[in-house]
Amino acid sequence: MKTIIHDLDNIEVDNNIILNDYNIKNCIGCFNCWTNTPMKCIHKDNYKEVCKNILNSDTLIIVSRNFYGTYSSKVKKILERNIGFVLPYFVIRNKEIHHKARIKQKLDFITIFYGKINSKEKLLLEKLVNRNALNFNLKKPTILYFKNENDVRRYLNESIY
Amino acid sequence: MNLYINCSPKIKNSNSEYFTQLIKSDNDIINYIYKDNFELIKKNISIYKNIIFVFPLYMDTFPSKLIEFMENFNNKLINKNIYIICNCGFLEYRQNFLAIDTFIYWINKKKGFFKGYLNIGSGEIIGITKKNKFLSLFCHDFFKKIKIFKCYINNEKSINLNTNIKWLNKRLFCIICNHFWKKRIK
Repeated sequence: MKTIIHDLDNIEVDNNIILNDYNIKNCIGCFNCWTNTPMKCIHKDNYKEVCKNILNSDTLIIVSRNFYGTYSSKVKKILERNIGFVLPYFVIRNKEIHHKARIKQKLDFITIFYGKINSKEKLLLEKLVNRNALNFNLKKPTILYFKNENDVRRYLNESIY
Repeated sequence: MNLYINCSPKIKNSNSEYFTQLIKSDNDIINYIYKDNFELIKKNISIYKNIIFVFPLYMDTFPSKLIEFMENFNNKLINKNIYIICNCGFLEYRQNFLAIDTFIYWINKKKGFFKGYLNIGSGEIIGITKKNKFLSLFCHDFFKKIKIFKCYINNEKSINLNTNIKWLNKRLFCIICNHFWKKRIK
């Protein structure tokens, strides 16, 4: 199963795909998804148990518009609601402190960025995605760039679904 | 007079607020990205010359609401002095460098003057010094650097500083933090 976190409009929906919802609530940093109700967000919306979907997947795909070398706010909001994907405990990995993984298996990790992207932004995005993979104990990421949303949709239809 | 912009989702209960209260003067004002209207913050940015963004590291970059604010910020930052205070819970402050670099890139694109950063590792533990004075002994470097940073902001000078808790190696740091989390988890 694949979990896709994205900020595209009008995308074909299936069980594996997390909807792009404009009303998604912000993470409030309460850490309830770590402490009181593991993997469950305190907000009662469509995203409250997304990290369980991710844990049951073999591939995590993130699709985001490039915003000055980082994720769009919509994608970032969803990601922040999923910190329960890892445990709060710290471990030393690659000589750095990171959160302990909840599962041993490493997920495949594909990131797709679209929009105008210059070489500096590509460098920032690559660093970001590699750090995410390290912190969330994911496999070495595959990073793809597309000019616009339509190209991304075409790629998803041909290669992912 | 300086404008501090607290970008933490925990708003007034955040470590960002603690650091801001340590550094701000009576005449300075604080806006909250997670509470205040974006238009009010934009208006204050147009008024104040020194602007200090204070944010925690969230998933290796800055919090989503700050990105949302940046997406909505169509103005330029011409003639504005911009400082950053970034903190993460990890011992290594170097884990903040990517977020700081990305933010500096945005400041440059908006034609602002990037004047400096205070880069804080082990921010969660430093935040506990509000209540636990014993821990303050390990944070002497932080208290020294935050005073220096304040002077440089008030004099509109450039400076980059890194700090974290001292006398703890990574292994001991993990043991202490994990003990803290075990007590919190039900």
